[in-house]
Amino acid sequence: MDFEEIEHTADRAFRVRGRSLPKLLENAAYAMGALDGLGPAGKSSVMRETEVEGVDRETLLVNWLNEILYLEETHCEVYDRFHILEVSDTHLRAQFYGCTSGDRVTHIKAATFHNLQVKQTPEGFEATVVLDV
Amino acid sequence: MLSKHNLVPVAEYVWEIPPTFRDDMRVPARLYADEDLLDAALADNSVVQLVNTATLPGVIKYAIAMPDIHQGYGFPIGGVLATRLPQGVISPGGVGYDINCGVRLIVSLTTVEEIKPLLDEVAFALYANCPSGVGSRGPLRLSNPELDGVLHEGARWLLGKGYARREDLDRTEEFGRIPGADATHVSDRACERGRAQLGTLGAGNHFIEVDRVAEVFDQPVAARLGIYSENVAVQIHCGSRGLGHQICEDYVSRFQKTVRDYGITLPDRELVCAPFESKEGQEYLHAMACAANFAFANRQLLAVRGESLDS
Repeated sequence: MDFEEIEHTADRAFRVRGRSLPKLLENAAYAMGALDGLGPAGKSSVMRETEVEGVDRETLLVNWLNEILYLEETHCEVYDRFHILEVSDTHLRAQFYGCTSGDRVTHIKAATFHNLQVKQTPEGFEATVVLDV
Repeated sequence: MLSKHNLVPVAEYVWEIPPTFRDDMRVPARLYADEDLLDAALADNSVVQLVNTATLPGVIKYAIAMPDIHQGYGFPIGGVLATRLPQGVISPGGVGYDINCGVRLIVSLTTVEEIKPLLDEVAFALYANCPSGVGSRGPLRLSNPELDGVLHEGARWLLGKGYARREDLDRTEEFGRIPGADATHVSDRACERGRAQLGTLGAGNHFIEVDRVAEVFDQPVAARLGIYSENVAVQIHCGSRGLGHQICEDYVSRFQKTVRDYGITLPDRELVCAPFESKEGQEYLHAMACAANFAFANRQLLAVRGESLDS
């Protein structure tokens, strides 16, 4: 597994890994979806593409996760497949797939910067993210 | 590593971590708690977070934590801080994501005995009239000028529209509006999220609770407030919804660069900040006031829809 939940007093948190920065970002999106527990609702019927910027890797990661939450909320959709098309330390372009959310409601309000650090490891990258619920 | 032996008891229920504990502390960290609450606070990261807030530029006297201290995202929940003008900072992470989260108390002349047979109906009606959930949508669809009105006027915007009375505002903190709001500093994304959410409860620890007044400790004060033993009261806990959340996200993200521009180093990135009188600090303040006013209007609209059940 490329991520695991970390115990937190009042909210949700996870540690995520990836052999590359794109993989870390994709796995972070999967981790957030797993903690939300919404899961795929059927065949993907929606594809969206977005670009996100940040002043560094940490900001990029948080802005990426919050972009997903924003689009899910405003379009009433749930995404369950993510593909980073381009990435640098300060910019990414991504495609993601999903379907309408129907009556399902996310419990996650935002990804935060608390205790956030994107670290390079011998296996690639690792980060810990705290989510506001 | 922080442990109980780092805390000095300075009075009954008052503990202090001196600024010598860590090089970057500017003032002591002070915690109000009994022994049990202190042990609970030390069990998570909240006391470390309190120490972190003692490093903010311009902090005055103490970084303080109330007895409800528990782990937050930068500040501990229950944390209180003041910074000195003009170079003291304002921190969007310190204010928090749910700007002006608060509680509205509605008192009723309905007794517990009168409402007992109707509780199921009341519960269904509350669910129907007060939408809940992270992206839930409210009864109003605000146009851009209407949303601007809410952001600048708060609960006062609902006067004359059938959703507020003058006596409601007289009993609301700040009379339902704080000055200094400027919606030009609120992003389109925040407006988009907030436009359909006025009159909604949200999620997480937000609630609407139908209460029984079980015991009155101060009869004269309670009577002036209209609170009587064995009567029903309703509490509404919510804030500025997706609009306030987005404002916090926008400025926490933006201030990741701002702290570098001002040469501010921090132990936690969620504490990002700007000097209060800087352009960036003032823009956040104006946006924060918009969110606060949205929250006042939100609680007022929920209260009106909840009050309609009393009849």
